Amino acid sequence: MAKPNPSTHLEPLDESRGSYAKVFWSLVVLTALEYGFARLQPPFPTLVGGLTFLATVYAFLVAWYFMHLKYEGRWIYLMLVPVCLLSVAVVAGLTPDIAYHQHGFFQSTAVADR
Amino acid sequence: MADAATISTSESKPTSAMSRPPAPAAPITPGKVAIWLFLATEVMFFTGLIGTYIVLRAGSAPTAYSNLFSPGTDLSIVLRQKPEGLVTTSWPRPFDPSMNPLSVDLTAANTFILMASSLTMILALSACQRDDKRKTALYLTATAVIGTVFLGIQAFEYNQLLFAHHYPAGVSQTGHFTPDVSVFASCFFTMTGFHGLHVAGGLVAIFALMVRSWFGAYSSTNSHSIEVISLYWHFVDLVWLILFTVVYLI
Repeated sequence: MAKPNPSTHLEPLDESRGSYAKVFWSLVVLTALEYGFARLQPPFPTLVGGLTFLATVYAFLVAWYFMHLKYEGRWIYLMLVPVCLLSVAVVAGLTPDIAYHQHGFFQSTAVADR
Repeated sequence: MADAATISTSESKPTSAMSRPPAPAAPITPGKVAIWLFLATEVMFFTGLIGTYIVLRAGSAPTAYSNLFSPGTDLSIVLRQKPEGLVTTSWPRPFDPSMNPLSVDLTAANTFILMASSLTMILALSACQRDDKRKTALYLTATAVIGTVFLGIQAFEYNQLLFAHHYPAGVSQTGHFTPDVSVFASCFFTMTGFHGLHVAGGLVAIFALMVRSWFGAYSSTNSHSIEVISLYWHFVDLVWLILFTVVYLI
């Protein structure tokens, strides 16, 4: 008979509902801080830096507690670290296009093609 | 069956004598590896969208948007005349209704709603692992309802932007905020639209879990499906906060 295997019990059961609620309220505070900080309309670099920091903390809390990264073995980092590096590489690889846009290279090429 | 009974009898003594092992790290199951691989591809997908957004935004001309003229207007002649009250910018600033029609307040409220659905989802998994079938079903139902509310508010926002409101010239030439009126509008609808599709897909799965959970399909030894969908749902919540930050707040 195909009986469920207890060894595949998914997550350690020491995570109480109270700790999930604490994480949730932390996320609420972080989002409220993001909203309040953006409302203050600080200088652009400060705004970007502050919001990036808050969003990073938010992402960490969700991944660590709600997605149970804290319980996973190294295998998951073998998967996630290359993805994160590739993500940075993709964005970095696109940045030269900013200069193309700013100097109108795309437009001038289009005109030359005609 | 006879063999199984024999094995069970012969092994029953040492098993009962053994103390329970300490809680191990979460086991690697094929479903979990598959969902994490899928989420890895999703990270790349949204990175592509956000990266493109950054390029388009950073490369936007300093006079691409103004409070008096519609996006895409050539302001070179106008700027020589230095008209009074004209403000130009490379990208619509948040909280500026003359150029940016997005309601940050409404979306902030919607963000809290999606976060609440993330909490009920994790509580559903937790209840399932405690064999509390009634709470599992209740929390899954709550997640489905809250997720639907999130999508409903997004649909309301889309309706306001596309049809219901009439916006000033700085937002759109036509008065409506449709994807073709500006690069900002295209980016907004592409990014939030794809995220909305992901939420809708997640909701279909959650509704299926909900229906099955009301029939007692899940237990502490059979919670794989809830865990896999839960991972996806938290990822969607995480991506939303990043989009909210990048598109609405910055």
